Amino acid sequence: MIYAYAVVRAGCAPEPTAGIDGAPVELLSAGTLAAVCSSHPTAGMEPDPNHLAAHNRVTTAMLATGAVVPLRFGTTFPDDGAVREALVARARRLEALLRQLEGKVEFGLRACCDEPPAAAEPAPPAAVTSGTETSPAAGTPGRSYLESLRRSRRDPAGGLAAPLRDLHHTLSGRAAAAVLLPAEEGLVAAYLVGAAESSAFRAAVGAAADEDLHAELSGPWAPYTFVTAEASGA
Amino acid sequence: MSTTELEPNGPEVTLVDLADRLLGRGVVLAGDLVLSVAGVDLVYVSLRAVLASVDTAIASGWELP
Repeated sequence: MIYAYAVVRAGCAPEPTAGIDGAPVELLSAGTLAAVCSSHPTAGMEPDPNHLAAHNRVTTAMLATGAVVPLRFGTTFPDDGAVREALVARARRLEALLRQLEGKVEFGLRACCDEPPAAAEPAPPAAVTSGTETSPAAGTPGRSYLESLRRSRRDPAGGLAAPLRDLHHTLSGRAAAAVLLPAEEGLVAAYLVGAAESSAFRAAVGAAADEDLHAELSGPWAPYTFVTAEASGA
Repeated sequence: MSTTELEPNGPEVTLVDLADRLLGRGVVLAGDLVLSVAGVDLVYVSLRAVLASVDTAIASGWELP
């Protein structure tokens, strides 16, 4: 079985990297594209933490060689030919993605602050006293999650406390693209940043954080968050 | 879940961040995206499936009761 980590440009020269279970990573090329792959004796791939970390390590290492389109974990093919067929079938879209992502990396942010959200909903009842089976009580975790998700679709930054909204606007201004991710509370977002601006981006997060605003930056990642819409044709 | 067994990519990478990106995002290149799952991973993957379904339902105009 061939396991695929990412799509890159054919002819790029990766550093030798160990893949999942230590398998050597190789490039399988088709036209201008190449899939970053490794061979494994078994079918399927369990998403255990070490496998996830290995997948991420390979996609991150490829960032040093140029644009990277990271693949979802678990992408497998029966043989080399099937990998090349998949590249050819999606060549136009993959090439467009590689052009967009050239020289860019993704950063993830989780931030929270003590200030209450600007558009806070009325506080839900503290306890469910006599909920019936047919009408789930407001304030249950599931319902509040759904409501936060729906709010975030109507006005992505509207439910954030002012310092978090300001931080997101500041960071969005430094990024080629930004995505607010659904979160029950606080700011969870991803930013597509020019690799050359990574240090300045980190510094901007550090400058915004203080004792009232806690911010955790992760990355650089291969741009997982910024290939997903194109992948589904949205 | 612990992050201590993760091979380090950077000090900030957590299992939640990893799983969100690698299981929920990224290009799906092939139809045969087969995860063989077991134990705690099954719980996480099932959770992702449920959340993704809810996400899609809301995106298509589904209203909360």
